[in-house]
Amino acid sequence: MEARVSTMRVPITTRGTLFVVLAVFFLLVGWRIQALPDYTLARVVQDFLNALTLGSLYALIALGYTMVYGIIRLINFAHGEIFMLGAYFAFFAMVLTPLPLALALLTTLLLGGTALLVTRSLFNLESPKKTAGLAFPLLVGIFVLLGFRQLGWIEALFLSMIATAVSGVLLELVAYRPLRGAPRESMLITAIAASFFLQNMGQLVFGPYVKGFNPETVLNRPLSFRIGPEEVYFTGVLLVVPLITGLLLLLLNFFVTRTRLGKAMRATAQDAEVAQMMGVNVHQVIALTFFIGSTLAAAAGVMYAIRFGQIHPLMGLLPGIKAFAAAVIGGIGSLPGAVLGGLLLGFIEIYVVSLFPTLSAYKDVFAFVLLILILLFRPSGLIGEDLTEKV
Amino acid sequence: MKKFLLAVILSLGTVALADSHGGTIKIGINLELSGRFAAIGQQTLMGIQAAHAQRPEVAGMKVELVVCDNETSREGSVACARRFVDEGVIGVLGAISTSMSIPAAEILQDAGIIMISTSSTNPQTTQIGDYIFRMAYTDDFQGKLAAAYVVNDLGAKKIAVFRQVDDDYSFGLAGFFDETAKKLGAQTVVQDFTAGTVDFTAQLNNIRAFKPDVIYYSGFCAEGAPFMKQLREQGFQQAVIGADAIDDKQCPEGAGKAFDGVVFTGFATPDLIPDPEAKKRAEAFKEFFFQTFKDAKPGDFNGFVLAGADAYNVLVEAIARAGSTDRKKVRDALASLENFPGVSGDVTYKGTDGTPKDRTIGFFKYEVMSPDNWKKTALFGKSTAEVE
Amino acid sequence: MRDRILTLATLILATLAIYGLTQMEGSGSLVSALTLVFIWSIAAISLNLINGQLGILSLGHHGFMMIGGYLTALLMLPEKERSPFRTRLLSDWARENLDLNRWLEALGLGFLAQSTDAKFVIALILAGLAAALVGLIVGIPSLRLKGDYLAIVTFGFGEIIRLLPNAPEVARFTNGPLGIKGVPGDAGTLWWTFAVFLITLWFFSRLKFSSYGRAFEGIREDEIAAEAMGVNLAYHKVLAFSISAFFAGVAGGLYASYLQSVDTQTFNFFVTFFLLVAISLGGLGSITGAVLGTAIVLLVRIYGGFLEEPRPAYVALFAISGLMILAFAFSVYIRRARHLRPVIEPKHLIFLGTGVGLMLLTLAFFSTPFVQQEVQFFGMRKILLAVLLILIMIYRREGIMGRSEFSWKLLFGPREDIPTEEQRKQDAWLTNPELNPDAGKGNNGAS
Repeated sequence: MEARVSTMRVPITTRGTLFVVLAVFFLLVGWRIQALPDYTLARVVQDFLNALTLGSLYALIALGYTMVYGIIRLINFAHGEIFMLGAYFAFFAMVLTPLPLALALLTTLLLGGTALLVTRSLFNLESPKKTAGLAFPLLVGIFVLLGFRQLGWIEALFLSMIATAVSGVLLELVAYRPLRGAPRESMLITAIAASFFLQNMGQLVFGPYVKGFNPETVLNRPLSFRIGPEEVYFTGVLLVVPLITGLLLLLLNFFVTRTRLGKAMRATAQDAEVAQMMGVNVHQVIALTFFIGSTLAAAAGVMYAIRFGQIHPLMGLLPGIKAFAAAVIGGIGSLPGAVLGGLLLGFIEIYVVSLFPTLSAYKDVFAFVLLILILLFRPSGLIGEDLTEKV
Repeated sequence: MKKFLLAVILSLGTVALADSHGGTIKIGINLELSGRFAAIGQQTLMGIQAAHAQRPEVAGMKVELVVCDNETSREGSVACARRFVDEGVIGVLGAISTSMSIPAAEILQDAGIIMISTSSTNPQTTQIGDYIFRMAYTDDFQGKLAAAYVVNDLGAKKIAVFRQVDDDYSFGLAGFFDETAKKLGAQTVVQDFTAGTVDFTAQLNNIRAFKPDVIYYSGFCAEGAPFMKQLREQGFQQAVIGADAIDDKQCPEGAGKAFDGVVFTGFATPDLIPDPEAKKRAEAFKEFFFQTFKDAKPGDFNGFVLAGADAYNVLVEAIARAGSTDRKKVRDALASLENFPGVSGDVTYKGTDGTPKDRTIGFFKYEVMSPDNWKKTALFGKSTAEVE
Repeated sequence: MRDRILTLATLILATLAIYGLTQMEGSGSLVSALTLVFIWSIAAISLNLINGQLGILSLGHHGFMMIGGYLTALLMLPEKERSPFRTRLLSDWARENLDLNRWLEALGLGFLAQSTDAKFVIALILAGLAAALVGLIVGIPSLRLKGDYLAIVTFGFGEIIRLLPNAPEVARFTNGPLGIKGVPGDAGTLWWTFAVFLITLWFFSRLKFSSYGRAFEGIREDEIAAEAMGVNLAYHKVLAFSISAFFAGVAGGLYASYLQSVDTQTFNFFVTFFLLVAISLGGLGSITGAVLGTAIVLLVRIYGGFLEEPRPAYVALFAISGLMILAFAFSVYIRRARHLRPVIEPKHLIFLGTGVGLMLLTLAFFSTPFVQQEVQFFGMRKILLAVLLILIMIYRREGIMGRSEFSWKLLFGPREDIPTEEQRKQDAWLTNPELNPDAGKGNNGAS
């Protein structure tokens, strides 16, 4: 029964800790760089690109965790599996298309139908004419894409985001909504169970092995540029991921701060009861939260798959847990906190391993150690409010 | 509570029923049919099933195959081994990987059940006891041959070795390779990774300054595919040599063009078997295989299939020679096998610790245009008898 | 008195039954299953102390088991398994010194080294103590954090412990990712695990009904009130974590002996999940529930293998659609019985519709290759367990036993909800004419 003040606030408040942390980080990095002879500028840039990409991916996933926690105080353990679903949907979208027309029609109807059923309350389209007016061209568009084209990665990304968002809302409907009002531990256990369920369903349906994901896109072509005497090698993915992440973050920020629904979300995060009294449809808001969180996770999943070239049903486990740790480190319930935490974790993982090669075996442990430290000494995270317990 | 008791009674009943032999011999199959090595496991299983179709009876009794999936985990392998001990099988075929074979071998050796691992290559496996056999060569040969090829034929002076630390096979093989390479005068640097690693930036950064001439990869495809991709993306143009663990379609399908040109050592395919008689048998078996499995693709037939088939063949032959189902007699018959005409070559267990003599190790090369368009070309084969 | 006789009789019967089992032919899988039930019950009961009785969600139990497992394995590893060849990554110091034989000789207790059983007792106790020490450390954050945050911290600890043995520095003591093989299997037998199980049962039931147990449950119900009543929160919380970790370590050691090997994959988060399902199913806070839940979950895991065998797709499709229709019928029955209105809601109809539709579609396309193909449902058992847990959380959070324990009274005691003749006679309101003017007339005064 902790008292929490504002959660989904946009402006950064505790600059002090941030400054200290960043200063320590840069000092350490600087000292170490000059101690390592072959750590050239080229390596710094290369690591920077890697870290930025990894951090952006963590940030996208962390946002999903933090939004759901802010709204219903639930740690959605199954979010890593949503991430995995996003990657798989994109894979199928790219590999199976163009579908035979009958199948394309069936899929469009199923996808569109479920999406409409599940989200009809989300967008306040009361009048059936309006709904039809918006939905019909969308459905036709999807049908055309599925039936007539071999999808490229952008279209696959888009379709995957829709499909995954629908899955996320379905998950909430089936597993979490019946437990509204239950003690938090029960909800946590249910989330864990849902995570296992999805992992194993994934293994059953998609096969328990690794699948290659190598679309012949511009993203995958190796590129390089010179810095001094050395080459920096990368692929297009490393440039595109931060861009897409930035774009999505801008859109999210706009939505949360400038639209009515976004305001409703912030209100519900602050105090659900009062928000309800003020006329906010809390069910709708919660479903919307899952919708948006899953969209972001899907984007992360697709980009992760392109970056590392393979997908498998358990791919969401470790990145999911680490992104969750990132969200907590940044301040769970706070959107900029999630982004900060994600980027921080990405940078730490890449740079520490680069600067201290002997520590590379501990790469996965960093996230958990940081997590515990933060929870012990500053539970509200880097950008959170101080938690006080009121008796 | 009642239901639990009912289940207990039912299971007791089924166990009692299952124990009645009635003219069948049971052979257990402990394979990685799901998980990371699923592809190799499935291929081995098909080889066993084809051999079973060719010889379904021995000593007047039908042979029944009891398949257990160890899910590519040590726990699963232990569970399978225990299950086979309970079911009273004569022998167990499998597992394919050393990591899964060793725990099962401990249990089966204690229980006095014969085990023939189809493709475990680490020497430790057969050293566990006299009931444990294998169908493959051992890694000391594979490592030595590979090192000789890399240093002598390719002229490498600096080699970067990548090994998977949490797998006995990969770890051991890298060790053998490293030892021989150093003896032949090359400089080596070893990089570690664990199962499930997708991000090799750290390891690649570490070898950048070393500027290796050749890279040796002793791991599996689940990590090998992203490894090759990142290797090429990061500008490393060196030749890459691998081992039998990457004789797996997941590699070219996963990495695509990045896997083009990778050379690896592995189980010999029919065309590389030196002995002409053995070659004929292998080709005949290949035909039979594709007749039995009409949907099989060309890439589904490789040395693992042959190894699986021969594991079945030698066990059944040992039962025939022993003339009884007494495990000790069968084991002795197996251990004294000499020049048995198998489909993967002649099999001789006499005078060995369970590792057949004179196995052929083949060198292959991947030619990959795209994930759907790839093939393996056989370069040449060398017998373990040639390696000192 | 009657209770004691009954308990003793059950114990004797159980011992005889187990003896019979070990002698029976072909009982191997049943013996294995029972052994596993005992081992995991110990772990589940220890987790139940924290999750159920103390009310703190702890997700790091697999870490404690791992510590116990590794230490037992190291201490008990026999000479021939200790060669550098077999334990490549161990430092020489660890290889020579982490050996129970050595310690016993040094203490002048060399004669004990002859008996593997005695050595196991010592090794398991040491393993438990090591785990308890770590449990103490993990318990300290519980003093500052609550609820979700604490659960996450325990989860973090569990994962760190799981990842550490692989690291090069730690591998010198744990043989790293290669694990330790060749652990003697004596402690993994039915007798050993049965004995430890009985000890655990005895210990925890004494604990539950002692002042400590009441203190734990008081903390669960209302921490601040408990503190106000004089319960030292810090002491009790840390104590609970330590005790729980001790027995988890012992269970880990037993499991290591059963598997005859230990490595970093054996004790992963799935272990904790599996224990969570077990105690949630059985009833959080109930020792009997923990054992019951473990038995049921293990039943699914061991004997559910038939679910994962290859079979034609239509079998699976019919099974799924049949189950959906059955679930609908069941829901209608339950709702009628509990007088819930409306009995049939739209979402139930959608569920029924999907089920019937699936069945009809399968019949319609029966001869197509898609429906006829062989499919194999890997991981079906785990899916079942996950679904089971979700259903329990939604429909019956207390599990089977709730918080109550098994007692002979439940089975044999008199029914306490129906008054006996004696009680009726003593009921003054019914029989005393002064109080009830209608007493003495027919029907006990009812008109």
